Amino acid sequence: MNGTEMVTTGTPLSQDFAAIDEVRAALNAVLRGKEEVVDQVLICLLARGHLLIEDRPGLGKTTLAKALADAVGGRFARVQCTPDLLPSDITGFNIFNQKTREFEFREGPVFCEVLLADEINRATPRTQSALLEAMAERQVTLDAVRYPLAGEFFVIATQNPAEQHGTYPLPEAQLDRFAMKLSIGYPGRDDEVAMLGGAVGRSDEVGASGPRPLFAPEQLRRVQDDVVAVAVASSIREYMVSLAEATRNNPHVALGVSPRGILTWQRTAQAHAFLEHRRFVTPDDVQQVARPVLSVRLVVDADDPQPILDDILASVPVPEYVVPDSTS
Amino acid sequence: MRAERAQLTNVRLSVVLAMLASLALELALHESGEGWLRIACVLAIQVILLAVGQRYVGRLAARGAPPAGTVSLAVAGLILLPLVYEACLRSFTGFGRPFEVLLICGLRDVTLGLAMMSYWPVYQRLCASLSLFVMLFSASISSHPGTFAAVVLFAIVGVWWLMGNHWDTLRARIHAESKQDLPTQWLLLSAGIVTLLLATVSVGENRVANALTGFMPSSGGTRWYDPSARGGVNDGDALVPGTEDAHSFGPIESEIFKESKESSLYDALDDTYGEPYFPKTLERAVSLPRELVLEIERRMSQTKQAGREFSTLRRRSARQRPVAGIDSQALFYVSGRTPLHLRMEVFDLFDGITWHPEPPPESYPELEMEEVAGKQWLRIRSRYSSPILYGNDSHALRVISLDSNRLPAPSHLLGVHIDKVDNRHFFKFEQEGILALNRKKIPPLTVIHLQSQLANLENRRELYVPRVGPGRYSSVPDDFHTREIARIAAQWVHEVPSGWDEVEMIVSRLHETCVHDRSATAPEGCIHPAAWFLLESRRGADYHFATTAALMLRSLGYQVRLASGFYADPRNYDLRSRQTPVGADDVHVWPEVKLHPGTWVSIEPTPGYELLGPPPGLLEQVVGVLAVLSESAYRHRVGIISLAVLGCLVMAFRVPLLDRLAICWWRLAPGGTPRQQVIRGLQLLELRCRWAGAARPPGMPATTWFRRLAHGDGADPLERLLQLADWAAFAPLSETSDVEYRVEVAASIRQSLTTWSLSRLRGALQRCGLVEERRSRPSHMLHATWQGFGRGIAWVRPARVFATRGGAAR
Repeated sequence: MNGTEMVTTGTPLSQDFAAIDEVRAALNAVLRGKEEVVDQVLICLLARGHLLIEDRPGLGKTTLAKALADAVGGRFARVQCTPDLLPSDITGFNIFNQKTREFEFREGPVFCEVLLADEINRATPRTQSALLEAMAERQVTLDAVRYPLAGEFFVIATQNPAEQHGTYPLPEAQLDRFAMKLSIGYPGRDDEVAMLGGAVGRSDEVGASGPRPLFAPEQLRRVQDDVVAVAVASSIREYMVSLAEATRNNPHVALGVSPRGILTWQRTAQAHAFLEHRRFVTPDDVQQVARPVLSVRLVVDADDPQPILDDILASVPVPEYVVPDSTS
Repeated sequence: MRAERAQLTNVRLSVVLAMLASLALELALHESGEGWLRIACVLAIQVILLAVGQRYVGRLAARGAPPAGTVSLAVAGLILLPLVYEACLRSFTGFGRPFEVLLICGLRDVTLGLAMMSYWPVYQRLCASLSLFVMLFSASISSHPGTFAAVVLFAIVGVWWLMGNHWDTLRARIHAESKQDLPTQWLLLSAGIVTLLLATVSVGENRVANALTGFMPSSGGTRWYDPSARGGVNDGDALVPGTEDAHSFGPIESEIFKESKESSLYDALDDTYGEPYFPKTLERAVSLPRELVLEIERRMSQTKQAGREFSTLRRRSARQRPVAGIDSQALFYVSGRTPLHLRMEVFDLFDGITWHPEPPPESYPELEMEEVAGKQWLRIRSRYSSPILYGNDSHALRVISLDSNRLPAPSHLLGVHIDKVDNRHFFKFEQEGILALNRKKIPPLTVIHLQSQLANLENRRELYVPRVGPGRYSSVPDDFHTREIARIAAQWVHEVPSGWDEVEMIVSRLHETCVHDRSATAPEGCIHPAAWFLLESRRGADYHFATTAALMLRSLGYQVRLASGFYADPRNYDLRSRQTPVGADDVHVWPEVKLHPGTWVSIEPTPGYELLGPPPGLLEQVVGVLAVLSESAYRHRVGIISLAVLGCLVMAFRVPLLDRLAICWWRLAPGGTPRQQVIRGLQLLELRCRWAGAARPPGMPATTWFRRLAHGDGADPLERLLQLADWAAFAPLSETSDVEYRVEVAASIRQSLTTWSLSRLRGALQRCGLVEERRSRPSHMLHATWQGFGRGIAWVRPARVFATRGGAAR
């Protein structure tokens, strides 16, 4: 029994909570031993953010994205970014229809619910910009005509940290469009053994083992709206601003969190609380999402930003446990 | 934000502390009457400068770290400023201020400067420390009521500031891995000891305060000469301006004595010891040699003033004034080192009952006036030079109501100064070494400065104690009782070399074998009080001791006389006025032994009285202070040991005791609403966790902290309490609950507190590596003591909790 069940008995969100738990279970079945990563991916989805996964090939990025698309009942598209990839290869393009004597818009892969942009740092900055516009504004503009994307549009971009040759690193302004940066990492020994066991006798056809749709698109939108409504106490807001100031004043941080970054951080904290079946944010929610949220947008003077992030989190006292007054 | 508000409050409090210290210093420096207006102007200027400076510094502080170089320069400038100002003042006006005042003014300026920069915590703490020093200095030199009010206010604000600062420190405890925390326990212990010492000085025995007097800031004191001195005793010239400035020396409440009845030495003797009487059947001086009997009769026929003799046969009358009443009235005040024997009369002939006063000397020592530092001093040049006399000791007496023209003075008087008395004919010798004014009595409120030499009794080779035949100072009555006393004296000194060792032996045996009882008198019908005292009662007043010692020493052939006068008791020392009041009940009788020609040395056979020793050096002063403190501690050993044992027990079992108290308090006041109950339960659990050895780092949510201790066990009742705590603190108020929920809250808290006992928490903390494993209690306490000692020396130590970087906080 968790706290919310006690304090919010009879909530109308119980179905949504159950559906989220089902999605979580389905993804955990696909990506074994990576519960935390699955949770972060779901947080990103619920917070209407986009996800950047920085990891080596073959760790399950595509599988995760495909399974997620299947779970939320949406379309899945994949773009393998290369230096010769054009913006129109992602967004779509106008083609002249000789029958109608008119230009027709041919949708690109962004017109889906879940898009996997593999090795995004191999695309040219121009192509990256086109994708990032679609991520930020959830629309595509072509020849002064705007084409809205799906409301649940969710991008999982990947980049390989090992190979830097011939890549175009994402600038900080564009990194800020991502809600989180994750690293899946290798599975544990037992999970890997179980994975091998599960693959025996199973078809290699992609998508064959994906979960059935667990969310109707409108249900996902409703859940996302519920996440927005999760309460954030004034003490928590002050705490987050203190943390943001700490990132800006830290001598090891060249670029701190932007206001847009704090908004994203708050939204992800709300999503984390929702994932925990709560309708209010706690300091723990803020801290749980702090690392993936901050690691994508802080520019630090060290190879590993984690110790600096830990220092920042440890340096700011969490809000005191007092009964909130009526104004908060 | 709460933390910022708290920081701002601390800044303001430190400013208030600095201003209070400044106010106290101004009051202390100008309490002689320069007026409130000047003080108010100075303080107003300081406030304006502080306000303007703080606005500027506040903007600087918002940008980041303090400009260390500029601050150092500013501090140096503030220290030098009063010195530069003083140099200008002295060169233009010729007036100056004492050096310690310049230094403390510089320190005050630095304090105010640091208060200006108190936005940075390091300067804020420095400012508070210096404020405390300035305040202590001011309080120690001032008796102004405003200063004491400032001290009280300072204490209140200081405690407030300390609390705020403590919580700030807790908040930032995990801020940096390299941060080292203060040895709080040892600091508290040190503060406790200092407080205890101050309390002892303030409210303890006068003797303790007296012993510490030499360490109080002053100038013009012992062996220190400064024309700008503001106060002091001994050979400093501050005593001279003391005659002009009533504040610096003299009782303020002297008006009340004008109406009181003035006492002569004889009144005081009679009041203290009872009135003398003579047995009708006894023939006086029957056993003295014939020439001495004739001498006594001649003196009695020539004496102009009756009652000069001192009888050792006394009785207390019913109408006698109670001693307690006398105690409150000082005849005069003594400034300078004590204990001090101030003699006013000496006696040479003793007939078994009565001591007869010594006649005026046939030839007087030379008296001449000499100007020292613009003041006229009467110089007394002895005809004999003694190898044992050395040094120069100064005392000042303020006579309140003494009906005598004789000056109460110590032995070996060298000089006397009374303001406006510039002619040696104002003085005369009444007896050998007894100086008097050439008038009927000393006028009330006269300040008498006395300079005397000390006798060095350490070097035995120079202590020549002549033994002579019967004479004025060595004759004893020839009767059975006196012979018995002589026999005992000879028995006591049987194995002691002759000379000063015999004198010391007689004194020490009297100390050992007899008890001082001021109210003891010889019974009716007693014909030889000294024999009654030594052979029967072994309990008597100081004149019994003195007479017996004199008889014993005389029987051994030494020249001894009796001196009467007053004893300035160090136990009566008044720390605030820095004087020792001498009242009618301080009359005292003691013997003097003649060593060299013209050199009479006081001895003190009466237990409880001491002779003035040589002025102590710094090391001796420190040793003396420690000795007095340890003596005081020994006297109160039962209480101190009981307190120490109790303190050790409380210290050893403080954690379980505190835990029990907290639980009791929680049961009495569990909180009103369910949210309050939950929060209080969590606070209690956090408190228990701190007592178990490790507090939750301020940057870590309580849920994370306790889940880590519980190993994430969701079935633990603690988990429910943590969820409730999150709800109570961070859920909107609209998230309400019903009455049943209130019951669940109480049950959840109770279960958590029961399950997570102190020992379980300690075990969990040890398992997580947050506290060291507990050893067996004695070795653990020893280890902790050793660790604490090490921390006390090293001042800093690595942070105990979550010292590792990053990951530990998760």
